[in-house]
Amino acid sequence: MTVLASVLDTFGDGLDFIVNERTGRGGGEVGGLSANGDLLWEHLKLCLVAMAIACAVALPLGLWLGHTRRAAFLAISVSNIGRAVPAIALLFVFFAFLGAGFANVALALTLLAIPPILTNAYVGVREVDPDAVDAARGVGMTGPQVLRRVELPLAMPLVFGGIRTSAVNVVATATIAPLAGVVTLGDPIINPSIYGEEGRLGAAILVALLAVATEVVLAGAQRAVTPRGLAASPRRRLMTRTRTILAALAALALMLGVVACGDDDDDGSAGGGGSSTQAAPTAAITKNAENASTTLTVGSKNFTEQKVLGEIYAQAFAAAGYKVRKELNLGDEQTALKALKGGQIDGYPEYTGTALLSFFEVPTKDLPKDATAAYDEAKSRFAEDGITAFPPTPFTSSNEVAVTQETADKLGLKKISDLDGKSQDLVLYGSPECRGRDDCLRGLQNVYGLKFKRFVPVDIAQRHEVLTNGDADVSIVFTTDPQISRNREVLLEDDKGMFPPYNSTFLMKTETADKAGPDLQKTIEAVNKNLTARVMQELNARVDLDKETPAEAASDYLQQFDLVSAGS
Amino acid sequence: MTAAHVPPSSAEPLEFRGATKRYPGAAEPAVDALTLEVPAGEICVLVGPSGCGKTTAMRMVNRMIDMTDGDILLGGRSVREREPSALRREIGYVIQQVGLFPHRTIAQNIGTVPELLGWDRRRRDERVAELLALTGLDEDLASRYPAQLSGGQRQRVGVARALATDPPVMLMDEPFGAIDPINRERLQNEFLRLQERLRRTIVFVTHDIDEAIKMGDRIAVLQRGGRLQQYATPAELLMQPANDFVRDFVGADRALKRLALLRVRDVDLWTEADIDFRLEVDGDGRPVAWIWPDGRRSTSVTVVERDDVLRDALSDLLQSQTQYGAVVDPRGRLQGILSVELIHDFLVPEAAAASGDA
Amino acid sequence: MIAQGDNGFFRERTDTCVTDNGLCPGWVVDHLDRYTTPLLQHVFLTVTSVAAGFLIAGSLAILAHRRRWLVGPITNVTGILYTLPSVAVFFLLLPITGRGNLTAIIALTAYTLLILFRNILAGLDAVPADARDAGRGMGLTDRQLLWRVELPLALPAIMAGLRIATTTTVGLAALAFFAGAGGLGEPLEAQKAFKTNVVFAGGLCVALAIVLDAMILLVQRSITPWTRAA
Repeated sequence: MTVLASVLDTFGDGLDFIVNERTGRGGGEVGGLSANGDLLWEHLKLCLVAMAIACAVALPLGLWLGHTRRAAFLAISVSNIGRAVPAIALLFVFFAFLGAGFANVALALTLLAIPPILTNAYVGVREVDPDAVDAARGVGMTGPQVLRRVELPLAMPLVFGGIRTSAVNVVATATIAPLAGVVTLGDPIINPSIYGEEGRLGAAILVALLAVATEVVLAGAQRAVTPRGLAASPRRRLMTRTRTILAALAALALMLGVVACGDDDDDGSAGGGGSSTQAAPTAAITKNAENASTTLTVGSKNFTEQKVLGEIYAQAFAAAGYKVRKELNLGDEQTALKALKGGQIDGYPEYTGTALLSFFEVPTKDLPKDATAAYDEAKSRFAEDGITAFPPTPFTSSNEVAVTQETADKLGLKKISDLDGKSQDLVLYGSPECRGRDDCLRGLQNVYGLKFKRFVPVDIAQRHEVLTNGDADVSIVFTTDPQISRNREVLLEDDKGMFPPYNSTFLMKTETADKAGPDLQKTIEAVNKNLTARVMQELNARVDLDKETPAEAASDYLQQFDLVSAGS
Repeated sequence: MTAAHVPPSSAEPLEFRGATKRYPGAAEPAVDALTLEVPAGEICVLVGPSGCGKTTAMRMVNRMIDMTDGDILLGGRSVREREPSALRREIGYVIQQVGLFPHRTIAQNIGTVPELLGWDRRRRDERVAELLALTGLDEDLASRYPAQLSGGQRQRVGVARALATDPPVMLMDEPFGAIDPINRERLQNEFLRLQERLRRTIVFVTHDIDEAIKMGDRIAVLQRGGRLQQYATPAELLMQPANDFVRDFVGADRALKRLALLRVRDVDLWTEADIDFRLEVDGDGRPVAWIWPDGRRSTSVTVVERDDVLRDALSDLLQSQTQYGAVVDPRGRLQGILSVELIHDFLVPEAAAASGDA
Repeated sequence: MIAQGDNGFFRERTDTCVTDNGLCPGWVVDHLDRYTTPLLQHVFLTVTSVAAGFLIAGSLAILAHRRRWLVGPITNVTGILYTLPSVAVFFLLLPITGRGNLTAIIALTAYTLLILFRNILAGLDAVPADARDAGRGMGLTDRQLLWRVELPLALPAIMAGLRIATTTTVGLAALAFFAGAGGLGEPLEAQKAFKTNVVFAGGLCVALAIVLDAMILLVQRSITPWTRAA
């Protein structure tokens, strides 16, 4: 029964998100009726545009083809093909070829909406009783008159059915539009880091309600336009509706019963670890059978470098004989720390600078400038929380303020303070969390006194793309990004020392670390030894430029530097 | 005569005892206390206008419709005591649309009930072959599907299927109603021949009084509301209709209908010696051509069968060039010669008797 | 293509197809193994969900076939399940069934119910009334009638429903990675800006849908010989 109680509790949180505002992880306000209302409006805007265009294109075409009885094969096949193409694939094809943005996503959704409307309009007109059409012609109606007065009214149910199907599909797919850069009601689901888990659930509830509402509204509209002779009797509909409610309640009760009495099986792992290797004489990390009794869950934040580091550590631990599970791509640092403290993961790689700024809220003027000092400070503060910060990597990967070569030349930019007086005409792109961070927008505002024309939150993975395609004048990137040299970007010097050092240090709860034994620290130190800035940049390039997976890049690294033996 | 593998079962008598069917909310009953006895081995025809309850009454026998009152006894046992599915497996059932299973071959269709009863493969196959022969169907139809057969062929399969386990009783609901008139006649004749061999007890429903007179040993005329008006042999029905309803239903052409009761074989046939024409036959004894008195040879020969009813034979003769018909046996061999004059002479004593009580 | 640099670890990137985000068949060939597990997961999710949906919807259809008053309510409930967007359902189920295959399969199965229920029921309804009457009259019990006559004759419609359900489920299973169940959506989303990946992963989905559809069609042809006779 406690399972049931916790489930209801979680849903309660979700519902709370819908109505009550709260502070999001990025600093801004999220949740609440007004903010969710805005998201809802964005969602509807996208859907309405797509449906409007789709209807304008597909309805006349389908009706006309059905009326003239042409292209049967095409009209039917377009639906079959449409069914086979996943909506998400369509979305991403448009995204990859045309980029992010409202217009491109709307176009993808329009294409998604066309097949059911087209096919249903076609079939609807075709299926009209040929005798009725014959009689209409017989009394002297012209072609278009027959279509308008006879075929269209009789085809209404099917035509509307197609519109309903499309509308529901479009509403559903608009939920994942944030993946392509358009913020809709699905944003809390896609980007839970700012909204939190309750935001995710609340948005899921809202999306579900929106879809059902769409269906109900259109069903009502369909009834309104169906000629009276074709409609079902109201009394039958009422009886059916009563029975439906009873049936739905029965199903719900059944499900709750299953939940209450059943087992809560949590399958969280995304698969096993990397290599389980034979101990080779040259490998630095060797398998210790004693470690097999310890399971370590390795997490990471949500950008390339983090995923690669997470993979490296995970594979290294596995090579040392530990049982490893992975939970990479968690979200931002707040999410990751919460996961660590809550026990969802056992460890993840954090940056010293990030810890000092985001967790311990050290004011900018008090930030250590030296990498070792920064690490020591972070280590002692973490120790107070019962967390061990293992020795850091050689490389440091700071947030950097980047502009294109052209912008730098045009405005004469070399340092960040050169932006003073010019930034109010420039658009800044950054991650959603950037807005409230002292090593990001807030710091630029406070330390350098800069005001930008507009700040646009964007997926971290797009941080270079927005510079090359001209959307952004200024973007926040990382020191170890391979795209910097490739795209000839210019990094502005941090002359006022806003950014602290950012070496990567692996975090783990102290009690977990102690239980894992001495091999843990030895493995981490072995891994860190070769992680110079150049190597880290190469690893990032493997993933971002060569389109390899983080796992592949990590495995290459471990083998190349003889950390594990070959054959993994 | 009957198949060696099927133990020859004897037909059973059927009795309606006050059988009644009342639907809730209806003013009149669909069948009103029907009482009649069908002796074993006879065909009882239920006939009447639409809505008279004839089909309902028939379907009460195999409990497709359950009686509200009264009883039906099959071989002395009440059908109400039998489990419906088991009861139906012992009753042959033929309906107008036949209802063959489209997804099964003809052989599988015919073998439906034997399969239900657990007959082994060999026994089923042999019985199917027999039944195909019995109903005049080609044996290579066995592996075809119903969609590949003509309407008449499907009808025969329906009959074959009903006969599969040699049931003591058969129910037939307008079985030939959906067939064109020419084939209907053929099927009726064949079925009568079959009945002569098998002698099942049959309840036969039709709305066509001519068919009733042709097929029935006894006829039950029903009025709307399921009320029995008369239960009699065809001759009695024609000559002594019980009331105005029956008289009107039977029709004004009773005299001609009498011809439907008599068959060609009842008449003393002429031979060639009695006429001026010569009839040429082939090596098997089948008539091939008429030779006219003036020597002309005509291959248009009207052929009637011994088992044909006289009314049909008369109809054929009236159309022939020669006014003569060649009478043949079931295998097509010449038996004698029939003419319109001969029929008239034969009927005169009958006509005299009829006009006596008009 | 990509040459090894000085100490073997640092690469010289000379071929620009991939970095310029083009369509690079060579890359696909090199990284085919990246798609095998997702493809297998995708097949597993699709087949399992459609099979479960088939069993549930089939049972419901057989029930509703004889008790017509059930048709309306069942259609409405499965209709609501059909309307709920899968992504939302994944996260609504998350507190109850957690991340993983089970959540994804439940959501995907729920989506197929309406399609399958409607088609199976329509198939059963289309059985010729005279075949049913003759069957009962010959002594087939209700169960025998259902299994030997009605269901076989309903097969064409049932198969049609299966085909539709399967192709739509293949499309939806591309979202299963949201629930932590893998599938082709995972590599698709992992590099959603890379044209080669998007086209290939999306193309695999379509190909899978076509193959499964053809397989069901073949099965249908082989078990309904009577539809091809005459």
